[in-house]
Order: sequence, then C-alpha cells, then structure tokens
Amino acid sequence: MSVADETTNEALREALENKRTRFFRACRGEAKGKTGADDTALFAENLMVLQECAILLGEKLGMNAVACAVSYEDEETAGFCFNPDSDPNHPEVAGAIVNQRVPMQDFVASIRDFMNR
Amino acid sequence: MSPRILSSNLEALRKFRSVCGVVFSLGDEILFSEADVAVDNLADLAVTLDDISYYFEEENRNPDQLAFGYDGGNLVLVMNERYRLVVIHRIPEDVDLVARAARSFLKDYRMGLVAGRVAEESAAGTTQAGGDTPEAVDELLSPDEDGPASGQLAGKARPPVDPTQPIAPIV
Repeated sequence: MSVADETTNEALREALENKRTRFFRACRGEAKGKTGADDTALFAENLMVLQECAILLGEKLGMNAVACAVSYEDEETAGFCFNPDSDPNHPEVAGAIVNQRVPMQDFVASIRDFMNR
Repeated sequence: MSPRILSSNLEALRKFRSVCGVVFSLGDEILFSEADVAVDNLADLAVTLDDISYYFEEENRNPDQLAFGYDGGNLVLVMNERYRLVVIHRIPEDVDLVARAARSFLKDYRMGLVAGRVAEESAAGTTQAGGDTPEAVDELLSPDEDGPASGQLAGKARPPVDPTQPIAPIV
C-alpha cells in the first residue's frame, strides 16, 4: 500500500469514526475527494443515481433545472449541489457523504460552504 | 386507515406550510393525489417511482427518503417498501419539516394497516393472546427482502439509470 493510499484510508477512517462529513467535487466527468478512490467512486455513483432520479421525477412534475439532491439511507446522508455560477456546458458539482442523518437544510448549507471555499 | 381518514390526513399535509402538492402511491397505483403544480401524467409518475424503487432494490440499497431542489420548486420523496409519498413544496427552508410530516404520515398509515389487520383477525377469532400482534407489526414495518416488496416488482422492464458513463474518481 502506497503512502498516499495509507493517508487517504486514514482520512476516511477518521471521518467515519468522528461522523465527519466527507466532501467531494465533480466536473467534466471527474470526481475528486480526499478520502480515497473507493469513497470518491461511491460519491460519483450516488451523484449519477440521484441526478437521474431528479431528472426523471422533475420531468413528470414540470420541474427541470436540478439544483440539489439528498438521499437518506440507514444512517447515511449523501447528496450534491450544482454550482450556479459554473459554466452551464461544464457544470461544477460539490457533494458530500456523512455517516449520520443530518437535516437536509444543514447538509445542503455545508455543501454550499464547501463549494464557496 | 379508512379512505376518508387517508384523504383527510393527506389534505392536511397538502395545506402544511408551503406544500403545493401531494401524491401517495402503492406500487404503480396512485392512492391519493392533490397538487397545484402541473403533474403531466400521474400514472407516469407512479411508474417512475416504481422504477426508482426497483433500481435501488436491484442494487441492494434501501433509501427511505430522497429530496430534490429545482429552480421551480422542491420535492420530498418518502418510501416504505411499496408505499411512496411525494410532497412538493415551494420554500426550500421547509424541507426538513415537510419531510418529518411526510414520514409521520407514512408511519401512521402503516401502523393503521397493522391495527386494521389485527382487528380483523381478532374479529375472526384467529388472534391468540400475545401471539400474532408482534409478528404482524414486524411483517408490515420491517423491510423484508424475500417478502412481497421484491416479488411484486419482478418483471419490470429496466432500471432508470444507465450507468454506462461512470465518473472516474481522481484521488
């Protein structure tokens, strides 16, 4: 295991232990995070699924432009927000996963804070 | 829960804070719907909800709540096995209160089903003291992978997501 792998695994372990939010960014088909490849892949998968759900439901309800999405599953909260100031052709997304149930308003606010950092 | 009480409870939810639409479904059947916003096709919406649930089931995932923000409104989806409650609301800040109210409704509704079933069994003389009630509660309130929820979704055409273009993680 490389030093980089050990560092990211440590970051993930610490985040899980302390129920700390793990943040990610995605743009142009690539996702970035600080808690390892597997965790980033998990975020990317969540992003795709939630985005697809948002589009499918939005179509039926006449609501088209998705701004954010959050899912709750067992003791996990996951979601993303689009950056409204990003290039519409290459929209930037910030997202997060945390292993506890967080009120959606607080969760989305934390993602938007991260987005503006 | 009788149809009258069901309608009454969901109409109350419909009038809660900035809520402007409520759709309650079982599988692909709409049980209640009242919305100010344009719902192009309720039957399509129910099928889409069923497809989304089917996708998660196939992935061995069990999200119980999804929430989406759009430019034109907000949507909370609460799921319990084949029951799905969609609540559309205008003010984003209402999301947690709306979600709590939706979860409470769904929990009460399912408890009502259990109570109704127990009462029916009692009336029929099939309930033994301290015997069937806990099992009935467990059966109706606990997700069961081998139960009706999985069987009734069999044969659906496709999952809603086609993950053919995965996002490559960069560490």
